[in-house]
Amino acid sequence: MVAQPPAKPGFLASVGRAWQQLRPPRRLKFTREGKFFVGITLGVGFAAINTANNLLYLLLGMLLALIVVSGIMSELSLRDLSVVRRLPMRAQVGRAHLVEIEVFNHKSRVPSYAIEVEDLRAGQPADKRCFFLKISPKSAQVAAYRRTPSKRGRDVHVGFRIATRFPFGLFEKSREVPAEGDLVIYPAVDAVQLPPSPPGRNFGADGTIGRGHGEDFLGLKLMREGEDPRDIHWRKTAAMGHLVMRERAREARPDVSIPLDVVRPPSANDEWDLGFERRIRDVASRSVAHLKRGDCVTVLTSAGGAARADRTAGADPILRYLALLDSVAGTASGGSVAPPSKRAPSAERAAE
Amino acid sequence: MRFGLVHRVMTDALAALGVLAVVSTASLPLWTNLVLLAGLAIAIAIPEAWQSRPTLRHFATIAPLALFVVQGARLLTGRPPLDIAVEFAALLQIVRLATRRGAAHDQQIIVLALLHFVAGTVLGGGVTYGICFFGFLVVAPGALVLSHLRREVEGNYRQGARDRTGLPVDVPRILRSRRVVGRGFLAATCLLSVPILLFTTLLFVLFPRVGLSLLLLNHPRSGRMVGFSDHVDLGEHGVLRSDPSIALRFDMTNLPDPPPARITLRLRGTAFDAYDGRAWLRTQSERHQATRDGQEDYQLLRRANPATDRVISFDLEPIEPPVVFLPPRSAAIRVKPVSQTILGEPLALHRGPEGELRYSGSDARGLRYDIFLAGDQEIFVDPMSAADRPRYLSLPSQIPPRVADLAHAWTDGLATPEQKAHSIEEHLRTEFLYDLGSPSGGTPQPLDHFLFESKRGHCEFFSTAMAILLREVSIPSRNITGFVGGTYNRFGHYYAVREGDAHSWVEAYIDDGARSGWRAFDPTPPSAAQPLQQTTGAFVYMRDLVEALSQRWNRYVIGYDIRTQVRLFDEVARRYESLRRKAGVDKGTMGKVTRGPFVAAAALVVVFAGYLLWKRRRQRASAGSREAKKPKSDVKLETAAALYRSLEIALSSHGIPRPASLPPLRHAEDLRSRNHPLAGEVFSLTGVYLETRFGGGALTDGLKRDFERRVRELRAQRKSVASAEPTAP
Repeated sequence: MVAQPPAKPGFLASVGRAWQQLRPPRRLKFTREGKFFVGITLGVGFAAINTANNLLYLLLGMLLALIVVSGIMSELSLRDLSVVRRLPMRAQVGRAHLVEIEVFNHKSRVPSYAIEVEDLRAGQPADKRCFFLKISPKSAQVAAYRRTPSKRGRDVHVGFRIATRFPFGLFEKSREVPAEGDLVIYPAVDAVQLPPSPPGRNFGADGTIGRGHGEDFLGLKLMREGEDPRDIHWRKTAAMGHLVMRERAREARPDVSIPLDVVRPPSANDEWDLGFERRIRDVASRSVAHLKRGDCVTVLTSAGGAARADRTAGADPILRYLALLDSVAGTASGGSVAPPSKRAPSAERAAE
Repeated sequence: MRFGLVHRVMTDALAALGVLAVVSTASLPLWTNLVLLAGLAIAIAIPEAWQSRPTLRHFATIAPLALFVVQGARLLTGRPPLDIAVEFAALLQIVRLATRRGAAHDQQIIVLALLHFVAGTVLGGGVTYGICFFGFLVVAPGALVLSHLRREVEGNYRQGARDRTGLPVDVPRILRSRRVVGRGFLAATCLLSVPILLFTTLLFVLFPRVGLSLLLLNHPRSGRMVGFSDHVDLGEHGVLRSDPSIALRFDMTNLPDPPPARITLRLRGTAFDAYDGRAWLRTQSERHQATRDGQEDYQLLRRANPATDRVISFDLEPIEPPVVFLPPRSAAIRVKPVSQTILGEPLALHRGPEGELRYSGSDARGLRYDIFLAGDQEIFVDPMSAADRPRYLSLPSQIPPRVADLAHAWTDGLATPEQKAHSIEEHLRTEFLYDLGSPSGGTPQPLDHFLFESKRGHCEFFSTAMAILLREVSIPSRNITGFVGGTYNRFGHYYAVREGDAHSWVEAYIDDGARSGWRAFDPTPPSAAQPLQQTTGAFVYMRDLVEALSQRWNRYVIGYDIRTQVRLFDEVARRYESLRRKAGVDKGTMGKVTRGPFVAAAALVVVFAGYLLWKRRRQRASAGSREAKKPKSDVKLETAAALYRSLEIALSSHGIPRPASLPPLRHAEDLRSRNHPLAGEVFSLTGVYLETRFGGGALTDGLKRDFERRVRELRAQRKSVASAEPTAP
């Protein structure tokens, strides 16, 4: 077999690359007013050529000059801008959050007018934008947009689309700048009415009695060196003549385990997916309710993953885990295989 | 300056310029112009606060419909459609100005103003249009920019929005703001007119003038000028006498310095051979093309001789009928066609009866021509056939006999026809008065009343009287109408002949053997036959300035055509060749290299290469600035960052990861505010990181080991907690 020489780059490809080099990275589209304007310009041009009326040529020149000036001015306005996004610490499905956009004008003399910044998210329509009427030279302007997520998961922000219709509103010139950023959207949390705590739970009814540093007293004991004098029981000490200390019970809150089925049967359809989302929402709601009551919560998935949180750590670990949790494809025999999606956290990570 | 106020002023200015441009070019009646201007002033003066009142809002809805109905009704009554359309467009703008609310209405005003300018070009566009156009160039960028900004503001800042400081961000607040529009902004937008003007001029000069005439949008001719049609009534000439509109301009060579302020040049227009007792008529109507002598030259008496003939250049305004006015002893004429369209009718001259010359063709903006004058010594014989003689001697039947008696009384005893003609001319000049308000025009026998009753009249009476009196004594005569002018314009360096300089005189055929021919006699008293326009004073100064501007506008803008364009390019090429010759690079290899197309192509290549170079330098500079912005590799900083990353991993294992959007210190503070058990340690470690990473603190090995140990302990706490928890299934 004869080895083929490496294929030379085609002429068209070279031309395409050269054209890309020459072409400024801008997109231009007509506004409604711009379409009218261009229509009038074409009409005047036709009339000028038809009649050789010099005043029409004059008018045509002016209209074309306005188009040229519009292009230059919009370029000046759009140039040398940098955009920074400030995402919130947490976001939740169904609850609005603010995303701050800061635009800095690096130009030393020329202000930028009528700048519109669209926040681009991967795989989602660019529906959120901020408008900046004027950004003075060497200064920044901040605006924020409000967004209410409708889906849990990782919201990947990929960049910005900076656009302007300045100066005449005839055309919209825009450019895209990459700026990555992630925001984990927690599942929605509903208010859940938990059943009342079992009586005597704080005294070990749950079988978790032991010494510790909890709030409850377990008993009394003689003080040993190095122990905290704040726990001295002065009345008993006075009665016995020795330093007697309170012995504290171990923190005896129950560790609530909430199971979650994540294995997706091979025959599952969209209905199952909806149910899966409902289950996640339910688990999140119950977890938050337990944490509010002071319980430790562990979410256990049927694929072997787990996430734990207590009152001090807050609900973030569980909500984050649930936000990124994805279903696991089940096998015909009832087992499960690796998660189909990159979004699903690994088993180790889920156990963290 | 407040944004809203500046925007309003500029939009008003643009609208006013548009209305003025269309009204000034449309030749509307005076009262209509006054009404429109008053309406414009009122609309501009209406305070902005009133424009949200219900009355004005209803007016905004009803007025355009009412205007449409009224103008439609007027159209049906026979008013000129053009006037109706112009009035409607102007009134629509006035209504919109008076009732505007918001940026959308302002944009409608701008679009209407633009359409007014388009209409102005079609309607004519004299120098007033030109002034408005340049005003438009200055104001339009600013008005367009502000209008767009206002639209953006109205679209983006809705009621109820607040800024970071909590202050309301709404449209009224921004319109009141003085920070959006400053003096620099205004100056910059107004200065935009300079590049726009340059680009406009460039395109105007370079765009090929190829009128195809696929759609007829020609400039309408001006109104009919009394006295040059086929029928002239006695009594109408007086109206013209007070009209200061310029009919034509002429420029003579070999004038003294300074040129005389007033000159009396008789310009023959048309002639009439029949008088019916009240009006002059023409009995002949056949026309034929004038004898062409080349592309643009025509013979009148003989061929032009540019070397010896004195030349007078004329610039004739468009009139109807298109008569060409000729000075005495015009030997040849050279026309200069302007604004010729490719598919249009070519310009041509036609000889008519009584030596009349008319022009025809697609030229709709008057005529420019040079007249070559024959010398005084040249003799031209103009024989009259026996068949023609009776029509120059015919008299209306109702002429009273005392007219003949008067003719004989003035001429009996004189030997030659010329003496008789001079006698009649002299009697009329000395015994009769020039009066524009002569009562004779309204009588059944105006000539008889003029000669025997009033003895007052304007030039038409004098010329008619002389022509009839000549015919009474058997001398062929005809009545001539034309101009006698004009007055010098110090700015334009030409003589202006106005419609008020229209005049009437007589030509008598004098049989004088070898010198037989038509000779001109002017029986009007000389003082009255002079141009009536003033030649001094501030008004005249201003008038001359405006008229000179108007002439320049008409000649260089309106009259710019394919011929001028070709001449211009030829001139550029000629000068370039001259430059090459002077530089000595027009021969040999350099001669080939420096040829025009080659140089133009080289210039294009240079521009293109310059663009590429500029782009590459800009890319490098941008990359360089990015590199410069990057922190230089520093082991200490890298180590500090690595240490903090290990802390972040430990925090993640505790379920308290630092969000990407949160700085390290804020994250530590946040943990502390939540009373997290690890907050103290995390805050301490973050402090170490910040001190070494950004604060210039030293990162010793001991500190590094201590940091790593504390992080390990943090992770160990996590493990101890985890070991106590129930394990996942």
